[in-house]
Amino acid sequence: MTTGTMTPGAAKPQPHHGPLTRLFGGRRNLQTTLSLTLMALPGIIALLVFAYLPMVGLVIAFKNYRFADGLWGSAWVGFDNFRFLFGTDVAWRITRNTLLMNSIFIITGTVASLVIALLMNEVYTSWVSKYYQTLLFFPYFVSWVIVSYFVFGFLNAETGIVNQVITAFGGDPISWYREARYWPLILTFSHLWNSVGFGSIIYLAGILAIDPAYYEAAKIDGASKLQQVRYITLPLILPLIIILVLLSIGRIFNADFGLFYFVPRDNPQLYPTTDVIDTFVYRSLVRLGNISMAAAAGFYQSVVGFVLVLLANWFVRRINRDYALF
Amino acid sequence: MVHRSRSILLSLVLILAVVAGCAAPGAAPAPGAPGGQGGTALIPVTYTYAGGGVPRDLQMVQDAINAILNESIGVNLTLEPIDWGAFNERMQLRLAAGEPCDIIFTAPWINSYTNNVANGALLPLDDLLKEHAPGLWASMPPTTWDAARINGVIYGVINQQIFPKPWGVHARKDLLEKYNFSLDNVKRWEDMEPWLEAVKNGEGITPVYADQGSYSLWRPQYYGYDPLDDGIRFVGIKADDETLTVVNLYETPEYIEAVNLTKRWVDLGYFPRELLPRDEARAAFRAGLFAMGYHVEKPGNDVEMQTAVGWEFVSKNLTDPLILDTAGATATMNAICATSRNPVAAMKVLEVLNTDPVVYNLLARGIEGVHWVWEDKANRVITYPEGVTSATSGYEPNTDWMFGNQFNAYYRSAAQVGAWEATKIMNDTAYPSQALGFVVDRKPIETEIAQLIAVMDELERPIAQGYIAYEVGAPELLARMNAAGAQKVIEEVQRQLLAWREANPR
Repeated sequence: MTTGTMTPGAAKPQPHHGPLTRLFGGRRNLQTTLSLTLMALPGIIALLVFAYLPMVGLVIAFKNYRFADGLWGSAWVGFDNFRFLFGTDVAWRITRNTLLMNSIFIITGTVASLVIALLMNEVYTSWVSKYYQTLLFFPYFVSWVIVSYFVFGFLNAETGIVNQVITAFGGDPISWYREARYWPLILTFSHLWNSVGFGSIIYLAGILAIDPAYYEAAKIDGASKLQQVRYITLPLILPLIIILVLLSIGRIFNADFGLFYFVPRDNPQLYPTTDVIDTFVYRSLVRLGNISMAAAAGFYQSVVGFVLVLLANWFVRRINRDYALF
Repeated sequence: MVHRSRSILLSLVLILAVVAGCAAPGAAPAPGAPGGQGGTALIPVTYTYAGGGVPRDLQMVQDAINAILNESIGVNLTLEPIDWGAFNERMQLRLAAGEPCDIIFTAPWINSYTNNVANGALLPLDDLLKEHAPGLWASMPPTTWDAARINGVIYGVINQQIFPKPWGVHARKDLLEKYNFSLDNVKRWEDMEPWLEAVKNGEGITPVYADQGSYSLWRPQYYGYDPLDDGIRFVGIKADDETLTVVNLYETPEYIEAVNLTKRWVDLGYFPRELLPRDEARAAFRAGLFAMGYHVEKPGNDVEMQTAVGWEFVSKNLTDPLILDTAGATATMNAICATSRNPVAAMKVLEVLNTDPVVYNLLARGIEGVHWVWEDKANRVITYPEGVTSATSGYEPNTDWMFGNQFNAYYRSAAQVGAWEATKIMNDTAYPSQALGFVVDRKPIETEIAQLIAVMDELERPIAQGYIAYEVGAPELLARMNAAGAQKVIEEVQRQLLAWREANPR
């Protein structure tokens, strides 16, 4: 997008050229930048079409959208559509759930992926290492719909495996799908199971890129395995960790719809802990059949999400400028 | 220079490839375009409705219907069944996107009729009906059509079928006989209990069917209420209340009675503790994991249920008196989309579906000799051809009431003969609710309804499902409902109802 600045000398405007030439920083640069720009164009177009064009739809949140009148014909209603969000405590609840669950996911996911990557790094036989990687990576490809049936098989009140184990040991069976308080744990576990293989492979790649000379030197100095991890591996992959965590903080307001919708089986009794903004927007749309209200909820998500990204970046800049995204 | 222009050329090619890739789907032939029909200028009409997936022989049936429609009204019909689980969502998204459609199935309980009208998604039908569907228009008295009117305008074609809701039970015949139980003396839900206990102990199953969409013994009409709007759920009037007093149904003694009984059945192990999606629950019924269902036990429902889940049933209506309310009269409708390009042709199709038994039965029952054969032509009784069952048939939608006038349907077995006449008698003799014909205008209370639905989904469902005792759950439910504007909704509906009575004296 900013290919023009990549060539030195691009800053000097040359007024006697045509507008297109001027745009690309002069005749000399036109040759270089045009082809680069053209190559970037498909990506730019895709970005415009899929990320910017849909933003026009945001106006629906401020309209009484009637299918027949269309986007521009429908009447403006100001903030009326937002009233249903803030009339009850629902806005607070979905915001809290989204942030809390995603924070837990980021922390547990990062820690678990790191630990596994460190362990995997110690596996010397290559086929064993590949075997574990494949095993851990596999759940990443399993659809949440399928996962929801696995979980149901475990937690079903009548025939579920977990309850059978509990009763076998003399305990009382638990109605898992009616007790909201267990679900943060169940969801965290499901998320870890799904994503930890993917995360650990990224960290493993980072670890493998570390120059073996450091370790050899440490060994000569008599450093233990733990010390090597503490003083060599972790500091060297810290930038990678920070970037990955920052990227996930940037998406902290986007809940994984599949996880939160399918795994709790869209059970209203679990909403106190499982209802996140994405599921709420979806339900508003299909259950109320009111696009304007759903759009209002989506708009709220975008605004809060945007603020959070700015905040997170500001926070990181304060700690270390180099690690900030912008 | 040469290699540079080559790279520019390359990028251009890449861009073109991307653009072409984007454009391709749009260039595909429009759906419903006649393919190889040979006729000139056939008008394409689509019909979108809910079903259990796409039947294997759908194309065959569609071709057979078109063989008739091509000739008689110059229309080429495309059938678009959408799976039950996805129908509501898919339709709402399609209509919202303004995608063209012609005939669609709409009802108070799925693909909401009132919502669609409020969104301007449906075409006004009064003139089309009178001009292009005289037979259909004359098939029902004006009072019945009135139930479909919103602000005086008809937007949906009512399918003639059962109008009141005869809530009752259908029990597996083999298990009734095995445990020596007869439905003759059953008058209320609780009269089933001795048999349920015997079945539970003898068969080791949870006897009463329930699924995620159908789970409670609370059925307003069974308890004498008219629930003015299925979408609001908690408001209603006593059907015979001439003062038209709107109440919060969740505070009525009848509701408490119903949910207490439901809880009792859950605690006794008659109701399942975990609710399955409809398809899975039905599969479990077919596999023999339930012994009884409770639903609209219209005449012939035993046979309809047998087609659905394979067992032989005995069914009985337990609702007395039968109540005719707006939601019942408009329980199943077909409407024409506002985006339809050929509304006149679509109306002609509706005329044929409702007045021509041959076309209607092609859609409802399939093709003679392939999906059914005559058993007793004089009485219009059909049966499956040799070697075909309800489970193996290539076309068995089992939703007569969705496609048009059900009284034109061929009977599935000798046992069903006379069911349509009996249904008609039920329709004509049911007690018309004081609010029959009244439709709530949700616009002024939209925000409150949205808030209330969220509260009820979370707090009312577990009570209705019998998992939380009424005394335990109700205080929070009612408090949260009031905070979400329940009183305002009741007052607004009351105001509309009285204004409606003013304009339409009984």
